[in-house]
Amino acid sequence: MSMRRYILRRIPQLIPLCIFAIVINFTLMHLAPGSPIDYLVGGGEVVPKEYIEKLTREFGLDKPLHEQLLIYILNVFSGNLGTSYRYRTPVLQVILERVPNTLLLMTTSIMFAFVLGIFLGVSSSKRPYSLVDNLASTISVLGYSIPTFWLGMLLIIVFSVYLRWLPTMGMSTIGAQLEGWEAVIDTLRHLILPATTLGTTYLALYTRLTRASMLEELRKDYITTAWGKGLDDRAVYYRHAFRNAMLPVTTVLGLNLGLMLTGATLTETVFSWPGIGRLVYDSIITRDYPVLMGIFIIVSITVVLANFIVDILYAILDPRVRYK
Amino acid sequence: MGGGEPVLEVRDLRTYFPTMRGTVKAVDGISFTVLEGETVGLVGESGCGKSTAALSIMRLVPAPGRIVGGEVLLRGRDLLKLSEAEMRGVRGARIAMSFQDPMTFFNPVMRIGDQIAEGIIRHQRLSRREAWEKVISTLEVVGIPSPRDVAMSYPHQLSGGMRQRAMMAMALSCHPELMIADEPTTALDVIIQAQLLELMKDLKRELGMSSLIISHDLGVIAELCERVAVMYAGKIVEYSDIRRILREPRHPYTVGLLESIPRVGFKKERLIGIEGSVPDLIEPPPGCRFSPRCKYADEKCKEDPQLIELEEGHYVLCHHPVMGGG
Repeated sequence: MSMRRYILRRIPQLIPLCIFAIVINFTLMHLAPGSPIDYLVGGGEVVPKEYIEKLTREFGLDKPLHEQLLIYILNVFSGNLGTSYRYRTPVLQVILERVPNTLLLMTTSIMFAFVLGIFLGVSSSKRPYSLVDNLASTISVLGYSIPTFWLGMLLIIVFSVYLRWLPTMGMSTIGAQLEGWEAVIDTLRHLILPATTLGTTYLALYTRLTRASMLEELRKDYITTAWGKGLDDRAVYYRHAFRNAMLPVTTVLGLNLGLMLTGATLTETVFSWPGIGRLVYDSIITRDYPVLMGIFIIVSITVVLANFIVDILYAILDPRVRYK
Repeated sequence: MGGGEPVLEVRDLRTYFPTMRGTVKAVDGISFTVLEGETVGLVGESGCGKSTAALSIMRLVPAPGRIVGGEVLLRGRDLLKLSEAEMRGVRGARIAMSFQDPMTFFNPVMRIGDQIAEGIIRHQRLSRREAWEKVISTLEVVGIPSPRDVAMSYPHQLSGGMRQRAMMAMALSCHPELMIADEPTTALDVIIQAQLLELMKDLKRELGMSSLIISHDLGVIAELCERVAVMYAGKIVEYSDIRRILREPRHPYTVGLLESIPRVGFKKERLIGIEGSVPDLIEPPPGCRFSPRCKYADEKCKEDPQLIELEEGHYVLCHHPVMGGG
């Protein structure tokens, strides 16, 4: 079966999955205690009953739940995610403004972690329990167990407060009015600390996973065959073991990429990075439910898409999936 | 048949595996020779060390196993003294090995053609396109009807017989001086097995290659080999040409091995197996390792037996060689 047919066959399966995610998100949100109206009117005792009823009607909250759900789904499919209570602007706009910032932070840290993690993992697997391996293992375990917010603050103290090399917060120098390359460099300087903080966790994950996966592949029979052909280390490790070992690593990469849009609430909060994670945090504090729901929906769709992409990657990496 | 220069001489080869419980002496001082154009069989039960012996010749013993002594001479040159880089030039090019289960011994995510071409590119420094042409012709040699399709396939898309043929082609692709085939027919059903044996006989006639066949199946060995070494618990217990072994086996273990082969046409003949099981290789029985299972064993068998040459070219490691056949 060709790759194209495989992909075409998979696409229709995605739509029910997305609808299902929307229903779950919607239901969960309405199961949560309290009504959005309470927050809108400020919860005061003196608010006239008529006003509350008017608002309830306006937001369609007087209709039965299943009707609300249907309206919401129809709205979502026409691209209308509602209006933010806090910003008084369409939810989609609020979210889309933050997306590039989060994508920048997440792609940088995941890619940094993925590339370096695979390199460390493969190096470790070549000589298990050697100095290199033990060093990589120690760094990974440390990286994985240090809380993100703590590591972030530590980096700020060392590199921003004491050494004064890098900015402490935000995405750009406030009031600097930079243009062109200077603006790019300014953003990159702001990016280093949060990306390192976030990347450290992922780095540990990819290193351990790659190492374990490589060691498992290197024990397999086809590796003996590869050595038996007179191939050198590079060919055996990279051409043979590596490609097979990448299957589980790809799965995790896909899951991580899928959750990329959730941002990293902790890291973004510590560094005041204006991304989705920070938006989630702010929306919870201010009970901005439409924004929260909007984020959840976009995240759900990204996760579904990311899984789809992983499946395609799987089919590319492993012919046994493709030809089934 | 045979009679030429020795291609491979194995002398007192010992491969040990350290374990938590002690050292497993998987191969414990074996010696044999493969002459130019000759096919030698290494036969024994599973766990007797025959596969480890083959991997030792290739210097591919899996960790923590280690070759602790002996010599492996390929045309007089000791392979155990080569550097790893030099050894890589030997593997696949001068000694090639085909493995028993081609499903797991092929890389599942690489096309068969690429897996065969890899060795050719490595040793003959051909371009990928030239190597693929060689792959196709080698696949033809092993009797694959549509070699181009097979070369483009992945291992899981082929039948067991086809995979084994492709495995043969991979071993043959660089025209090695010695081919080691580990259980070449074990994973196959009988009909395919017979076809493959025919193929191997043809190849032997046409290519005149020296080979070492490893099998637990004396029937397979008898079909292909001129000489055979019977291995038991890490040692070679009998070594002779195949006819003599089949007609007048002298070691009690060989006798037992022959008696446990079912023969078609012999009505209701009761199969006689060998009592007991393969001994613990960490603490093998003192003296002759077969003695606990041997009906001829006595006090003398508690001492280490020496390999004795009963008649020219017929060696037995036994205090009480069986006389007058099985």
